Amino acid sequence: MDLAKKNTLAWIAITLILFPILLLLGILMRTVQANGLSAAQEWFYPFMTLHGVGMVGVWYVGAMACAERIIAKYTKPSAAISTFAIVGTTIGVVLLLVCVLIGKFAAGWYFLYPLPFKGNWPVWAATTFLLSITVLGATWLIWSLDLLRAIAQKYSISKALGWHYIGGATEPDVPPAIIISTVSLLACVACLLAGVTVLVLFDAELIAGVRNDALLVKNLTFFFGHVLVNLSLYLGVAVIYDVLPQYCDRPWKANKIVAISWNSVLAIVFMAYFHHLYMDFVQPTTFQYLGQIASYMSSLPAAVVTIFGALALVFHAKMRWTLTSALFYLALMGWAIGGVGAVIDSTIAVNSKFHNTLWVPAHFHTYMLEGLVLMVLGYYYHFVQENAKLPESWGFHKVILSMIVVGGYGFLMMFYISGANSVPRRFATYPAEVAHGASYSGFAAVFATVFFMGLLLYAIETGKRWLNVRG
Amino acid sequence: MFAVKRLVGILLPWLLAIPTTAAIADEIMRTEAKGLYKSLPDIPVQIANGQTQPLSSFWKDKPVLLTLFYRRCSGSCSPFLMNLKSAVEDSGGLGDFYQVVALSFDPRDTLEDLQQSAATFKLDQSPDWHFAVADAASIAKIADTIGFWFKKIPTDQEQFDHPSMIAAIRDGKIVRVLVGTEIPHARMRDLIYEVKGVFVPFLAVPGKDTIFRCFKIDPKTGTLRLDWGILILMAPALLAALIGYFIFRRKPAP
Repeated sequence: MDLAKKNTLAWIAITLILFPILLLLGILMRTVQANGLSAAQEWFYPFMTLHGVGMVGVWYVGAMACAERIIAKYTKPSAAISTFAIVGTTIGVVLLLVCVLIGKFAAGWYFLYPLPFKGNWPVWAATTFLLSITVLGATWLIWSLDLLRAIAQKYSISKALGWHYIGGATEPDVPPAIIISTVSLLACVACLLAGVTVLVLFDAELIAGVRNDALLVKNLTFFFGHVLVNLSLYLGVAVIYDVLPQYCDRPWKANKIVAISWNSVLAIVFMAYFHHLYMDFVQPTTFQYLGQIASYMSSLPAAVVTIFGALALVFHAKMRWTLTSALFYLALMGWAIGGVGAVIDSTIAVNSKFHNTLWVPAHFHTYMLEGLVLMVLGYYYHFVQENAKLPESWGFHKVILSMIVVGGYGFLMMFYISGANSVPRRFATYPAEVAHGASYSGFAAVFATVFFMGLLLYAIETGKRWLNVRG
Repeated sequence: MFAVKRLVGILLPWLLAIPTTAAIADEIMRTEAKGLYKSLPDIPVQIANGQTQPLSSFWKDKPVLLTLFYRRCSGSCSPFLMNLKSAVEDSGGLGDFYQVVALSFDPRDTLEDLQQSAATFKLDQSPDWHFAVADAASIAKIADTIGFWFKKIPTDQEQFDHPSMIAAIRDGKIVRVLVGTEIPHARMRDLIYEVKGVFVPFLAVPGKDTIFRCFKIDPKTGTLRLDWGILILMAPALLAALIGYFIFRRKPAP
């Protein structure tokens, strides 16, 4: 077996070990919010930090691993760099576990300045956290640059971004996955550089005592975090563009509309994060309006084009429904639903009411849990099944899918209802004014457990094939 | 060896987390935030003319700036009250938007002490300055609510160790607290805006040692001006474009 394939198997293993653990932490948090497990209350915020950073990281590397395989169909990424990415990510994860589980670091997944310096955790815990993010950021930056290098070996920038389609040409044929991956990886480089800048500013304060401007650091932090989450989704979408046609027996080709929509994403994705700063009164009003416009512009064209494209692809096609194709289809649905929630949330008039409620975790959990997660899980199953070629049971797969959908959307619905009923986010337990939040949390924990059981069944199905391929 | 020593020299203070000016500023900010939005206990107070009335009678009329002091203080009380008087005169609005209640936290203070205090600062004729006393239990409740503390100095039982503090009260709730003997113009303006019901942003302003910031703010007018930090915000995207250019610069293999 070649190294690239071994690496993909390693990523699958890492994801399927970390995801259930992080999911259990999420269930634990919702149980604490439901006034259960009172002994775990003091761990709520450290677990929230681990759950948040962990989930963002796991699904980013998951999407990158899938995209790497897709890119490898057309050109040749470095297997050595891919191995380096596994090692770097593992070191980063270990550092993260140390600072949270031993140091009780609890500044949240986006470690908003100056919180890392202000909490009830030791200085070394904050330092280790920043070191963890540094290791992860540097590793991922090198990985992204290598994938871009691999694309550049075969495609010029104008071809890789599909500019010839925009100019009216139909040749040469560039796979949509390459266009979307190029857009995503260029955005990835920018957001990781923003992350590096944030870390340098933090280090300057830690070591040299230079004070930072909270507004600047918050802007850079969301430039890093928000764009990273966005492009993880886009990489997942790139994979769907490439793999779903195999189950429909129809091609899904790039064209002028696809090229325009994804290039527009590259042009404006960097401004969409401004919607995280609506509450920041010192942010100029112009930026706030730009945030709303960019949020609409960066999500709608790509999502609408992709979803209509997928519907057209599936409509009246000789579909081969398997765990992969069904997960992809459901993933696009989750992306659309979560995307609508996100666009609603990025509307200033709405955000001024909903910003600190559970509506916010509602929308991002939707496009992560029922969007990106299903894209990556779908590809993982596709990869191992393609190589193992074991017999499949569609009936059993329907059970898995049902649990993932019922458990997932039940869990998400509790977030949406809570948000609409003013239940605040980031509260470990709820005061009397919003005590109804506890009931919703209890139901959410039950639904999440159903999702978890579905995931375990999925892991058994994928695990069997993984072992077969691994030999 | 020198490099190691230098590294230890840099890292040691940080690892030991020695309190710095910034840490003291943070402590003040924490104190100021501690009592925010709490309801003030409606204690009975006796004002300098001998009349006893509930504290709420003041805030029912108009918002209140409440401060605690004691007559025999040989330390910060007098300069602080003088500063407060100047700040109130500079900022305007007294009587129109708010009134000031100076409450003694020393149970030994009498009505005569209050009258003398008012006269000392030439405030005895002002209808919007009220000097008052209350019993020890009531004072303890007020102090606890706004985050004020006081304790006798062991070497001088006449004197108390205590901070200087103003609490802005609107409709019986603490809407802003200001700690410190000095009362900067900008902070006093914020305090008055807040009692008037105008939303005032509440955050730590970057210090003078902040190298990069997005904007500079004129504290008197509140006007924003772009600063160098904006360029740092744009740098990642520009740098990524540059890196993209270099990666794709070479012609792809046929």
